[in-house]
Amino acid sequence: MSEGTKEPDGGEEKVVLKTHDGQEFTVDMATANQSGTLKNLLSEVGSSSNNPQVIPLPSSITSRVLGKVVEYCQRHAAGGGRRGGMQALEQFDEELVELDKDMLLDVTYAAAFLDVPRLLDLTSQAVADAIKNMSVEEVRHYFGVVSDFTEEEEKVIRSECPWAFE
Amino acid sequence: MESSSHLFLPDRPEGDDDHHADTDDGDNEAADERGAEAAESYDDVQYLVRRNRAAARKRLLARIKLIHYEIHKPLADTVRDHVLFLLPASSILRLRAVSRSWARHVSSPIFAHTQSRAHRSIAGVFFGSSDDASVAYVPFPPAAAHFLPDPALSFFPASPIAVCSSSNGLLLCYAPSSGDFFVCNPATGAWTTVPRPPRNPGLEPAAVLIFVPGVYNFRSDYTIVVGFMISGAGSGIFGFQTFSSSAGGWWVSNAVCAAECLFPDSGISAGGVAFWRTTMLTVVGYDPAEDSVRVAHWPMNYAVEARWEIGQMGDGGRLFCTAVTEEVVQVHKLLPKSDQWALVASMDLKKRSNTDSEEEEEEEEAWEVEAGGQLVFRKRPWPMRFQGGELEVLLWVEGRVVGVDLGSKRVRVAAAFGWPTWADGRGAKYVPYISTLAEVPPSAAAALASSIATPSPQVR
Repeated sequence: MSEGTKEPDGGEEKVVLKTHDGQEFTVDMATANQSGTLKNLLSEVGSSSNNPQVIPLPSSITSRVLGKVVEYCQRHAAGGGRRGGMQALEQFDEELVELDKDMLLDVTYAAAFLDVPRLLDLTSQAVADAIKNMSVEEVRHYFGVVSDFTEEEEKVIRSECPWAFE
Repeated sequence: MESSSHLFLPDRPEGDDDHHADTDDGDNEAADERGAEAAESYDDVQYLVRRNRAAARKRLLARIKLIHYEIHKPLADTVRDHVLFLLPASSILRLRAVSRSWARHVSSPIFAHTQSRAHRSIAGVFFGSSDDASVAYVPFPPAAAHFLPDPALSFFPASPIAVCSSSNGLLLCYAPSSGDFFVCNPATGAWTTVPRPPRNPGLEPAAVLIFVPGVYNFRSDYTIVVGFMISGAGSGIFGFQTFSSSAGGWWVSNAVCAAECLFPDSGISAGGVAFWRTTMLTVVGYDPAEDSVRVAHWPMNYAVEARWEIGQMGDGGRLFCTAVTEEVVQVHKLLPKSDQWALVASMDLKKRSNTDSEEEEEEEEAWEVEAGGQLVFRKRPWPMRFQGGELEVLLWVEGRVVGVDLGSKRVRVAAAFGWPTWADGRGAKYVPYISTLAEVPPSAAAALASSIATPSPQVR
């Protein structure tokens, strides 16, 4: 972000995140440490400013998705600072999850893979709000799930609490 | 095949004395040679090395497989693991039919435990009428997410039933005819009878259910606190009796407080403490864990015409209170370890009296959102008892239940409810309800009996 302040503690070290479609994101350690996965990885391999570690990411995390995640991590690594900053951060979180369906799912997936707990909470809640009123068929279509029930099995499940399907 | 039994051993299965066999891929050769010099039989060493290599290879393969699964995890699995437990009970029971892995995931007791901790938004409100003794449930939209199989609670053996209190998905009900307390989960239909309390709680018991779905509360144990008047009616001195489902018995506290009268319909649990409003414009809290009583004056000082109600919201287990005066709707928070309140939110109340000319046009709107996202009420609402994990207070406006989220300023409206009048000073019986899959543990006495006879709690 534009207001990225240069902290003396570890602000020098950089990490390069490389997506499958070839785009590279250079982030500082504080940002990378927002992700549990990266934090674990970097604690083992280390990274420095003149020879930054390049971390390849799975194909399901596109550069567009990673851009969102990195934006979130950068904002939260910078922290709230002043009281107004905290409010701005909450505002930012709220607007972040206003995404279209595919993007929301992809960011949820990326947050789960990279282990960014607060971001995962935000996106999971948004997905939960989206599906809580859906029918079984709609949910299957939404996530591309193919039912592996036999007809009898599904009938049994539906008959156990018919009121939930009304 | 020999190596398969060592699959689950830690990384260095043979210990340090067997260092020659305990090799990493890099220095196999050297270790082999050292082993050859040291060991009596070369074949033995060869066997050990081979065995450990095979085990290491299997471990590596398993790890790679796990990483591969994590990378290529189907989206539906991510959703299953991270989203399902945030849903209300009714949605979960429906979405079991999505696939086998979803059904399996949802049916585990750990999932029910996780869901009861994670899902914290108010699903709806139970209403009870003291006139015809019926129970009604008014869900917030979407109805498909907050549906209940038997909202009239007709599965209880007694009738009429009054809903006293609710806590994270469990309901505390009371049958005035028999004097029995019941605890149930209306989403699953599981229920249990609580043994009779030692002190008569009266026809309208001041009873509060405290159910904190903590990390280690796997059995979903709960506590019931019932306030009762000491030495007959009119003394104004209240004592407290407590039922604990883990201990399975009642216990009468020595702590008392002068309260004139506890409003039975104001009882709410916050942070493991049972709170009531009193007729003396105070809030009385009884903590069953510490056996202590605290009293705080209301935050409105001399604004005696204010309508007020207490509730709990957010993650901290703090007590809040909503106060509605002629001009403003205020939400206060009780500060910890003091009797001071802090103002957390304030919404204006602008009566139309100053814009008389437009009166007819705006008649139907009881509230509106101003430019700055600020909510302004046109009609004076009644505050309602609220309890949830979100920053949401409940208000009763013109026959509708309105949930106002103080964080996002989002407004939810539950279906119109034809409550005729709001009797002065005390509201109708209404209990905010959160829809969870929390289990209903048998009260210990029932458990004892059921170990001989049938299992309890009874599930319809």
